[in-house]
Amino acid sequence: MTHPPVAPVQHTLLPVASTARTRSGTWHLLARRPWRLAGTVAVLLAGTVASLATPAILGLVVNLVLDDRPVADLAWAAGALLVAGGLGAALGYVGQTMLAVLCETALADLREDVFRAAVEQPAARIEAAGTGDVVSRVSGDVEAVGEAISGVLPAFTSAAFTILLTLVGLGVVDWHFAVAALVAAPVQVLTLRWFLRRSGPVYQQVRTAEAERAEQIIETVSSTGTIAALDLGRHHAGLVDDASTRAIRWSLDGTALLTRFFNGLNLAELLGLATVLAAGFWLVATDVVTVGAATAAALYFHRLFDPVGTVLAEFDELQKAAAGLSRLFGLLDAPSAATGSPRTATGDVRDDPRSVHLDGVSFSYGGRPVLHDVHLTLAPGEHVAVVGASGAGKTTLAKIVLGLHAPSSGTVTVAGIDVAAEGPAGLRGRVGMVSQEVHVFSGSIAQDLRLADPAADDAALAEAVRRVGAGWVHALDDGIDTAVGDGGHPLAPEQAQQLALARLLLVDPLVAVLDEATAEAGTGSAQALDAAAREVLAGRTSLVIAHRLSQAVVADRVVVMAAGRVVEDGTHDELVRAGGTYAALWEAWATR
Amino acid sequence: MPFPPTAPARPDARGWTPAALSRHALLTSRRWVLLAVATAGFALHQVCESLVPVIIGVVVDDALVPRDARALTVWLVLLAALFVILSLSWRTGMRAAVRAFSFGAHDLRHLVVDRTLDPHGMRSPRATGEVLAVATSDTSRVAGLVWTVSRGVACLAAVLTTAVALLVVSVPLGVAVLVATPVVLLAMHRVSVPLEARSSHEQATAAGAGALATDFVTGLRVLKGLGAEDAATERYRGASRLSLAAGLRAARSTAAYSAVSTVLSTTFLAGIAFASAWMALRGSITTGQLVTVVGLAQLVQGPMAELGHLGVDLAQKRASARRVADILAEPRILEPVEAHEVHTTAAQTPPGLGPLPLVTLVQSGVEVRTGEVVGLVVPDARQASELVDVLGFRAVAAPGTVLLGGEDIAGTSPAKGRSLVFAPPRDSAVFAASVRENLAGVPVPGVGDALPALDPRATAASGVDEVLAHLPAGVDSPLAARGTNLSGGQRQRVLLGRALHRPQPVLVLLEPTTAVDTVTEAAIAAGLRAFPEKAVVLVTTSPTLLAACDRVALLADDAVVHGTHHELAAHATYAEAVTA
Repeated sequence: MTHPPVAPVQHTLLPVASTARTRSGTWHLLARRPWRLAGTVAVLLAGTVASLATPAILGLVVNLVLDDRPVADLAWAAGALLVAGGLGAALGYVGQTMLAVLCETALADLREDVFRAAVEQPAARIEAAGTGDVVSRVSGDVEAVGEAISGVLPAFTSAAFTILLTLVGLGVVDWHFAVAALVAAPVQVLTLRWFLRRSGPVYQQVRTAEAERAEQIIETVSSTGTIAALDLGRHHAGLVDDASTRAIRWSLDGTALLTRFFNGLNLAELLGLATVLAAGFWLVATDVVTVGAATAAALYFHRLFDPVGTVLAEFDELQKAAAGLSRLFGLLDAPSAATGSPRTATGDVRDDPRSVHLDGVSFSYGGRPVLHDVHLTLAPGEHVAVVGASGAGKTTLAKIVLGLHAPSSGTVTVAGIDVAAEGPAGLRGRVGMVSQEVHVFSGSIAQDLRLADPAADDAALAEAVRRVGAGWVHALDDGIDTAVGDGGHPLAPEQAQQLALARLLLVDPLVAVLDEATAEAGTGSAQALDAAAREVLAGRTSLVIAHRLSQAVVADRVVVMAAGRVVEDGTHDELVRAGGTYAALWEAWATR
Repeated sequence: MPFPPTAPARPDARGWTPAALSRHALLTSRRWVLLAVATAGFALHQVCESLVPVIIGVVVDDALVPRDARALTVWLVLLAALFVILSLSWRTGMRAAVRAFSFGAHDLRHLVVDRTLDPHGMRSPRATGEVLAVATSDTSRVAGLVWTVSRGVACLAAVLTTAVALLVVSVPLGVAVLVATPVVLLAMHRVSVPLEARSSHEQATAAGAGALATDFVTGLRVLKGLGAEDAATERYRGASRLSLAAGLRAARSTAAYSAVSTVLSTTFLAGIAFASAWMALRGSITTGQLVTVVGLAQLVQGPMAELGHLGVDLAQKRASARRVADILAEPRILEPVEAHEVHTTAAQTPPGLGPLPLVTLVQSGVEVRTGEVVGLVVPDARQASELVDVLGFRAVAAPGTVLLGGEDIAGTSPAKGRSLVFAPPRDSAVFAASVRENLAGVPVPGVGDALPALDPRATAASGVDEVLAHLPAGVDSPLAARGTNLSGGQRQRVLLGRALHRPQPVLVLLEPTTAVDTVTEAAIAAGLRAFPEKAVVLVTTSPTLLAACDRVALLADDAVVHGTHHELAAHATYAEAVTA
């Protein structure tokens, strides 16, 4: 592998629950409705019994023929076959439906709990784990468990019940047959254990190789313009081919294991069938059972081939689902941001709820100090712009003000609340941020906006849209109900930013933070966005991480940061006169 | 218009039909051998499977009823031999089929990826997700014809074996089973069609909850910035309950289908059992034959159902092959240059004393020569990126409007043009490779695997030096696909550093510093002046960059003005475009 998909930042993944915790968690989910659970098992068992009557009746038919009974008896037997089949079908329908209600409801409860746990995770932990880990849990793992429940579980349960009851049935015909059938079991168990041990890592490799292949195709196909400009077409076609070939190699290894596994099962079938036939011969010869009973036993055993194959083949799918479950319970058990360690407020009650005070704030991230002893006060209604190079600590400062990061030392009081004591939950509705990351949530524009204020009526939404100058919304085919985001109507970056500003208006916070909100704006639209930002910030205390100096010019005060410290602090005019870093930047920007 | 409009393109002549693609997947590269082996293996396996109940019946007849131990031994040995053949034939067939399938899909995938990478472009570009789906799912489905063919033949073999066995036992019974089975299967199919349609619709609804969860978690930082965790949880709960309802409806449909098919097949079995038992009573068949008939009647349903599915399966495969063929047949943006008449452009070149300019925009009179840094201010963002696309051979110029080294760009081959001008798209990609490879390129195969050297001038001028200081392994740090482990500003500096590493004498950059901070932007503006051997064209509205340019031109719909940044500052259109 030439290009390992490794990020330079070492991710600290979220916890995974132990097998015992997963087992007890699953049991608790199912046992929330104990009577339904018991009823489901009872109905499924009854259905299996009914459908297993078929070979018994066929054995009876053989005996009727051997005993030369009248045709009427045969008709009765055929009628019994129909009744058994109908009963089996009806009970099977009811049982499978009950099983679905039981398991799908439990899954829905679980995925909703997991989703809540995911969004309540502290920002710092999500950053350490990477969004990918959380995404793969709330979507991939939930999906894997769901597929096992809807696709594998019904077939698996009915096959397992069939095997169990067939053995019982064989025992009822004559206990010797049950023992004879069990001759196959050790071979099956050994084959399965061998297969699971060997196939687990190979299938893991297949999945990884296929994911890498998809990742490589995405990278190549989404970058054709760049690839053509760099004349790397051949190289990239080669990368896709290599990834594809690796996936093939692993899947061929998987196939080799699979064929050997099923050959092992064939051997078990042969041993079992031969033993049952031999036992039948011996029992018939010694007049212990009739030819009909021996026939029924052989047919019973032949009918086991399919369910045994199903159970053993799906075992591996269920194991995968179990792995998914343990990752879900792991996320569920991770402490959420809302239950962060509470600290007592300093008692230094700040009078105005719109002010922000940072006293001696330091912060390190992954052992690397990012902020040193920052003192910053925002007066009520004051607009402060932060200017500085990448890595100077601007974004970290913004996250500390929002309560998303807890400072290593120092105190932060925002909107009259000690952030360390209350955590981000206590700040909800009082502080809002438009971050550097522009994300349009999928769904209608109205749904997107209502995330900020679920109670907002149509008039409020229209007003927010108007104030940020997003008149284009009304020109869309479905107006504010147009679907946007992934798979919806594509929005230009500046349109997405207008929506982000409209959301902030709807949150209506006392303190607003804009982190480079207009950074990606294209030509001309930056002015419109600056105007929208001014509209949104009016009357609020605001901290603007300035990207364009035009944002700094209009601020009440400018703070210049370098290497995690505040190095200049004053009005635009003061800093320009002072002739420091800011003045030099302004010189480069404003000369014309 | 200050620069040329995009000219229409003609469709690509090469044709891949769905049928040709299917043949390609099945037969080329000696895959027909694998296909033949798979078919033979599966057919033999099916025949053996149908013989198992026959042997059970024979054992009842020859050993159990007459209590003949020798017959039992002989038949059990034969049963063992049958299982050996059954196992080996399936194994051989399976391995051959998987090989043929995998490499067939691989070859189709290669065709799709090759087409998207064609330097002449695709006239209607496809969404990445769509190409991914075609390159993975659709190619696999078309290559899956291997299964359709080999399994189809095997099922046919099983049905024929059963027919022969049944007809040997009893002609009327055999005919009855062979006529009734398709009728029963047809009935099952009729029941299942509406159910399948409903269940797939419901599964699509269910997938909605997963997509919503992914979306919210991907935008988690934005959600947290708004304090909108509760609102998101509520919406997810709504989607989850919808998905639950859909899942339950789907489960009910599946359960209903399986109940109906149980009833149908039991009725069929009861009929066969009654008829054959009646014949056994009358003595026209033996007891063992009764067992065989009942066993075979159950067994033949599997292969017959599989054969019945063939129609749906083939329809799906045809649709997939059509999607693959559509991508392969997508018209190009640029026509291969051989098809063009090369224009003589000397007359259109404005008279000048120096050597021919490297780039000339004929209508606006912009000329770019080696050693210059030229700023172009295009107030309309769409026109700006179109200009860069023309220079990067991603869009077609009207003949005679853009000259490269005095030669009309419309008559220049993309390969030649791209060796002269490096004009990457604005949203250029960072690849999943080391920073070094992203900057300086990949090792050329065959020339030794030596890693390309970095140009310290380029890393300093682009501000990449500062990015490297933050990466654990410096220049050998791996970058994630699409550069997701870099900030926007870091990514933009890496892209700029890459551009400065390119050997082309002309560099055309579109808004190269929108994501970098003001401090760094000023440093980059100064750094871009350090390449006297290159001509640098900056298509930008950044005053910091424009102030560093030797010359600046405003290319607006209503005005084309030349000068320096300072001179043009007084021009109203110019000032408005760059003040932002």
